[in-house]
Parts: sequence; C-alpha cells; structure tokens
Amino acid sequence: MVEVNELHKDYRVGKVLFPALRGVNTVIQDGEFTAIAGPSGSGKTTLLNIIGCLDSPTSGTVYIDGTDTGTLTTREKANLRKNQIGFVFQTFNLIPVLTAFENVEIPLLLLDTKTDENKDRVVGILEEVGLAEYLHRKPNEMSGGQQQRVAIARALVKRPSLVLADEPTANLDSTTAREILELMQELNRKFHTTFVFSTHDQLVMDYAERIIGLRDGMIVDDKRKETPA
Amino acid sequence: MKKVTILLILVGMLVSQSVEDILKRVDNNTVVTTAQYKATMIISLAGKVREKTFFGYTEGKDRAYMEFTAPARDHGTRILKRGDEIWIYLPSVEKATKIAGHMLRQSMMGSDFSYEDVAENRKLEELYDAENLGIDTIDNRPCYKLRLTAKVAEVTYALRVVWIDIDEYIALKTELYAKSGKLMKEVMVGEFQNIGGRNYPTRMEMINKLRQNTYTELILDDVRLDITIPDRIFTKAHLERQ
Amino acid sequence: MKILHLAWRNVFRHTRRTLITASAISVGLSAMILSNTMMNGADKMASENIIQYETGHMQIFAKGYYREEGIFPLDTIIEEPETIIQHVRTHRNVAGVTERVKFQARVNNGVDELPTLAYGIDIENDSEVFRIAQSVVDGAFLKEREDILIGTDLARDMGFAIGSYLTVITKDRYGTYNANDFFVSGLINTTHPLFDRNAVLMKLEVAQQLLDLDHGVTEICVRVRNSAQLASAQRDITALIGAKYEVYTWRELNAAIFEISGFKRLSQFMIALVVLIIAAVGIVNTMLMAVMERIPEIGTLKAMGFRNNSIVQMFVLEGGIIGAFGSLLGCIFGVLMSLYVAIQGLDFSQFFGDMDVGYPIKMIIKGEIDFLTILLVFLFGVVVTILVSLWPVRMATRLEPVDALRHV
Repeated sequence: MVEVNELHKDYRVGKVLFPALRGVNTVIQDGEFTAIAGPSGSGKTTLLNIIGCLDSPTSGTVYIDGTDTGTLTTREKANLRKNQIGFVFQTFNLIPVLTAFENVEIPLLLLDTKTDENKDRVVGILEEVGLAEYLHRKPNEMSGGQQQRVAIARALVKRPSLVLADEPTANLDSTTAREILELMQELNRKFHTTFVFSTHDQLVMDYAERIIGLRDGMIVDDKRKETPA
Repeated sequence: MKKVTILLILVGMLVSQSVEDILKRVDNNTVVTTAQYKATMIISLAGKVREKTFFGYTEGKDRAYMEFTAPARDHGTRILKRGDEIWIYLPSVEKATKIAGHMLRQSMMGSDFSYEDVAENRKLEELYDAENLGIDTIDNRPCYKLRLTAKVAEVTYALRVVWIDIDEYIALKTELYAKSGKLMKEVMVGEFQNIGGRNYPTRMEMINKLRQNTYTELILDDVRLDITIPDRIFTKAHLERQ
Repeated sequence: MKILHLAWRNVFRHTRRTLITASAISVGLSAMILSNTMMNGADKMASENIIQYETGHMQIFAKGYYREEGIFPLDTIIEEPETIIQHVRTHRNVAGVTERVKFQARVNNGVDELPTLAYGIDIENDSEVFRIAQSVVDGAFLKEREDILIGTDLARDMGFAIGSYLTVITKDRYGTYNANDFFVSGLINTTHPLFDRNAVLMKLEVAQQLLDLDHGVTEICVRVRNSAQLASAQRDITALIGAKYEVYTWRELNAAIFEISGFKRLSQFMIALVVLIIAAVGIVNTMLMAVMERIPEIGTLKAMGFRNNSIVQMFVLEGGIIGAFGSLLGCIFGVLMSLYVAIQGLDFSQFFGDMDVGYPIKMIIKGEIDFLTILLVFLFGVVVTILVSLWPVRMATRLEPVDALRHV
C-alpha cells in the first residue's frame, strides 16, 4: 500500500522557485492498476519518482507498506528499490551491452538468490512477456516494443509489490502500446502486483482501473472503473 | 780552427775553476728570489705557429703566478703555483681548478713547456753532481760542457748536460735526459740580459726531442728581479678575482 | 562476479577507444621495461669489464694508497707483495691472485704523445684474475723485456702495428723522468672501451725498474670463486694481512661509475614514467567519457537498487581490465624488445660515435632482462590505472538517481 500525504516539491530554476507538486494526498491499494494522468508539466513524473525513492520531496510524506520513506538513508532507499519496486521507463533504459536475458537478470543479481533458480525465473518471465525466442538479443537488435517488454520483464522478475512505469507507451506506436498495456494488465492480474503509471495517453487511461488526474501539481480528479475495457 | 781550440783549452786552464764554482755562479745568475716579467711564447707544432702572451711573477721555488693576455681565446687565463699545487683559472669557468699528479707533466697552454718546467727554480748545485766534459762552443761562444748527475732522488731529470758560457756563467744550452738515458728535451738560450747584476735569460727555445716538428720559443720583456712582490698576488682570491 | 562480467562487457563497448587507451599504457610500460633491460645490461657489462680487466673482485693496497679515483700515487706501495700473496691464497674463496703496477705514462710515437694508464703485469699469474692474455687479437702476449701490449683503439689513434716502436714516458716514484722504448708485441681488444683506448701493458719487472720500485707493486688483485660472499672474503683478508694494508671491492673502487649508473637509471625511469603519466591521462579521459555517456544508465542501475559502491566497483574493474590488458601488452612488447636487445645487442655507436660516456662499456649494449622488475612494472601499470579511474567514477556516483536518469 502506498500512502501519500501533503506532498510538496519545489524545483529551483536559477532564482525562480517552480512548484511541481502542491499538496498531493492519495492512497494506492495493493494490486491496483492506476494511471496518473495529466498534461506535461503537471507533476506526474515527479510524483512517481518520489514514490519510487528516486527523488525526495520538499515536504510531506510517502509511506510504502507502512514505511516512511523520508526517514530512510540512501542505502536503505536502495534496498527498498531493490526488494520492492520495479521501474519501467519511457525510454526503456536497457543496458545496451547486455542481452535481453542479462538485462532481466540484473535485479536478481542484487538479491541473494541461487543462480540456477535465477535462470528459470528470467526465462520464465521473458516467456511471459512473449520474448522466449529473443533471450540472447541485445537491445539494439530489438524493436521498441520488444525492448519495453524486456524492461517490463526486468521490473517484474524480482516479483516486486510495486511497479512504477513512467509514460511506458510514449515511444511506441498505438498497436504496440496496446499490446504492452494488455501485457501489464495481464501480469497485474496474474501476480497481483500494484501498477502505477504516469501518462497523458488516452489509450493508457482506457486500460487503467483508476485514473488520478493531476494538474499544476494538484489532484483534480480521481475516478475508478469497475470494469475496464 | 785548430788555433781557436788550443786557445780555448788554454783559456779554460787559465780560468781553471772547480765545477762546483761554475755551477754556483750559474745558480747565482738564474736562481732569483723574485721575478716579474712579460712574456711571449711562440709555439710551433707541425709547421703551425701560434703566439701567446702573458705576464707573471715568481718567488723562490714555491710560488708563481701567470696571467695570459693574448690571444683572445686565452685572455684572462691565470695559473697559480703554490708549493706542489698548481691551480688554473679559466674565465669561462670562473672558478679555479687544481692540476694534480700527471697533469703537471702535461704541456702548458699547448707549448713544449710543462707546468713543472715553468715552475722549476731550484739550485742546480743542490740537485746535481757535476763532471767537467771540457770546453765546447755554442754559436762560437766558448762554453764549459758539464754533465750533471742527480745526487738526490727527488729530481725531475736524472741527467743534464749543460753548456755554460765561460764569461757570462749562463747555460746557453741544456739537454735534459730521462733516467734511462734517453734525451727528452733541449733548451737553448738565445739572449740574456744583465739585470741588477745577474745574467738572466730573456730568449730561449725549448725543443721536445721525443716529438718531431715541435718547439717553443719564450721571450721575456720588462724583467725585474729581486723586487718585493705583495703576498696577495699568490693567493687563490687573487687568482679568482673578477 | 557479475559486476566483473558487466565491467568486462563494458570494456568492449568501444573497442577502438579501449585499444587506444591500452596501447598508450603499453607504450609507457614497454619503455620502462626496455630502459630497465638496457640499464641492467649496461651495468652487467660495466661490472664484468671492471672485474675482468681493471680490478678483479678485490684489490689490496698499502694503507693510504687509495685516496680518490684517478690518482695513482707511487709513494705508498706494497713493498713486499710475495708474503701477502701467499697469505691471500690460503683463503678458501680465493680463486686467483696476481700483482700489478699501475701508473700514469705518456706514449710517444715520435710525433704525437697521448696520456695512458700503464700496467706492469705478472705474466705468470695475471690470467688467474684477468682476461688480458685471452684478449690478444693480433701478435703475441708479453715475453721479452721490450714487449708491450696496447689496445686496438690506441694503436689506431697512434698509428701503431705489431712491431712498432714506441716510447713510454713516466716519472718514477721520486718524481724523476724516465723513458723506455718498447716494441708492440700484441694488440688487445677487450670489451672495455677505456682499456682499449687508454691502456698499455708491460712485464711487471720492466715497470718496477722504470719506476724504481724494486719488488714493490701498487696493488694485488684477487678473484674469488663465489662473488656472493665477496664481503666476507674482504673481511677475512683484511684481518689476515694486517693493518698496513687495505682491501677494496671492485664496487667500492668504482662507486662513482655506479652512482652515474644510478642517476641514468633514475632519469630513464623518469622519462618512462612521464610516458606512463600521459597514458594515465588517457585512462582518465577514457573513463571520464565512459562515465559521462553512461550517466542515465547509472541512474537506471541505481533505480534497480544498485549501491554506489557497486557502481564504483564496476567502473574501477572496467578501468582495471583496460589497465591489465595494456600492462600485459606493454610487458609482452617490453619483453620482446628486451629479448631483441639481449640477444642482438643495440649498437649506440651510430648515435654517439666514439664518444666517451663516462661508463666502462662499449657502445654495443646487450640487455639483461629482470623478470621481477617486469612483474613489478605490470602491477604498477594496473594499480595506476585503477587509481586514476577512481576519480571520474566518484563524480558519477554523487548524482541523485533522478538527476542521473534525467541526464542527457
């Protein structure tokens, strides 16, 4: 469960103070499939980064499964990310020198799991995202959609409780985007993993169970759908 | 010619001095307490002739000072002898260097004089036993011909043969021999002057008998003998002065 | 292990850049190795020359004879060498003993004169210690009183051949000139340049007579069986022959030469070090580029929970791999060049002519490879690369993950 209280974030650009978040409050339950929607500059990426402990707020608190992330040291934050949070980026951010298999394997290397077990898990998740044939391809030998599938596999391989996806479909064509969203939805149901993604893409919003509307750093809308499309 | 020879023998008998007396009178002429002079050295080597000029002071057998004035290349080069030590000052180095051991035997400024030849000022009488070889002539001047054999160990030349002018008591010719009996050098006195009651050589030639085509002529001017020379002349400070 | 794997993969991200960086390191290291080989070779040759022609392993003098190099006084000599030689022979580490008279003399051919260092040698025993007899390349070893051996270079300079007549001029122990005529009986060609250019050798008795020494000699030269125990032999012999005499090892007698050698060694090493520093700047540059272009990637790794330490490790390993590769390459090149120099020798006479470099070796230097140094140089190369790659990496880890991710 993610709990966000009175979250403020100001960016200083030169002498001008630019408020990115202006008092955000929300709770995201386990297993939710939630989109944070809003135009560019509305603060959705900032919110995601703060939830993922990649950035710290100017004020306010974030609780992840009851832990106040503001009180954690750099090392503890790294541990939290390592164990509980998976990231999917707009630009995929795969390590170019590593194969699909190796990229997905990285998060497991940080955990104390057995090597042969790792292999099964990596192959399993890559099959899950439909890349069983591409285990040994490097990122530059794959399409954007395939790369994002690898990125999703990488985020999910360690079975995190929370996956944060920053505009996961922004660099994909609509057909591929749809496939990716269906995949995430399927994985969300299968593993009961909480998904939070930022987007301004209507397509993403069509798939989301809950849409949190963000504008000028504040929540302006919070809708739930009982039966998504 | 025969008459002349007979005459010479007669003269010799008349004068009839002991060889010791002759040596003593030679020493009285040439072994000076002090000397001050200007000199020109004409060095001839394999047909090439170079001329160097310098002035100098000597005192007894232990102290001597020389300073070169020409050619330009050697201008300002100074040499100081104190006892057994010889120091040389080169203006380009601006510091005196000691010449030791075998360097003393080397030629001075490319001439046929070695540093020790120049520095030698000891009484022949003290160093050698003399034997009269009779009367001979050098440039038509009658001379006593003496064979000088070293009587002390520490002597540069074990044997000398000298031709001493009968009237003036100056060695007109000297042959210098190594211990083995090998002739090494020959000194010819071409001119001498009477200075303060002494007959002092002012023009001499040094011939290296072991090398061909080489000799050095030394001409002295403005010679002053037995004068007082300030002590500071023979100091290292004076040698190295700017 | 997996970080090493990742570092390994990163090394080959820019193969050309890696190769250039590694070869810069290898140039520096191979220069260091080659310079070391050359200096070792030069030192070994110098040592052998000194031992085989000049001094033997040890020399015994009358106390006070040895004052400074280049001075050969005849006023303090060993008057009765026979008893000392008998004593010295009793030492178990002594392989050979001979007596010599060494003096400064001028050699005259009737026209020119050159200063030389003359030796009166005991023709019976000289070969127990020295290699003069084996170095006669023309004519014969000393036999008659008038015989003299001269170096090939001196012969060339003075226009002498076998049978030539020459005069040796010197001063005896009392400072009196003496001069003897000799006939060149043999020409020697050693590996010692000063010897070939500067030495004349005659029979011991002839030298003793020339210098008025009676049976005296200036030095007794000793060759030992085991040179590793030279110091203890020196102590024993010093005790054996008493306080009227002094014993010096060849190294003590040539301290100045090996001081020069130490200095040359240092300066050559400094040059090689400068090359290596340039290479190190190359590594810094390479690592800086690697870090800069991979900042978003660093952000990604951080987002996945990588700690700063692991990221530093990854880059340092990457630098270390390049360094190790370059160092290995440098060692291989260095050893190959060294092998060439060790087997073929390097002829410096083309560069310097017959210039006297103040070092008793000929201009053809045979290298001497020292593998311990090579190992040290290799480790040095790796350590330097690792150290210099730390700095750019630390920069990258200071960024917040979000700034790293946003970095373009």
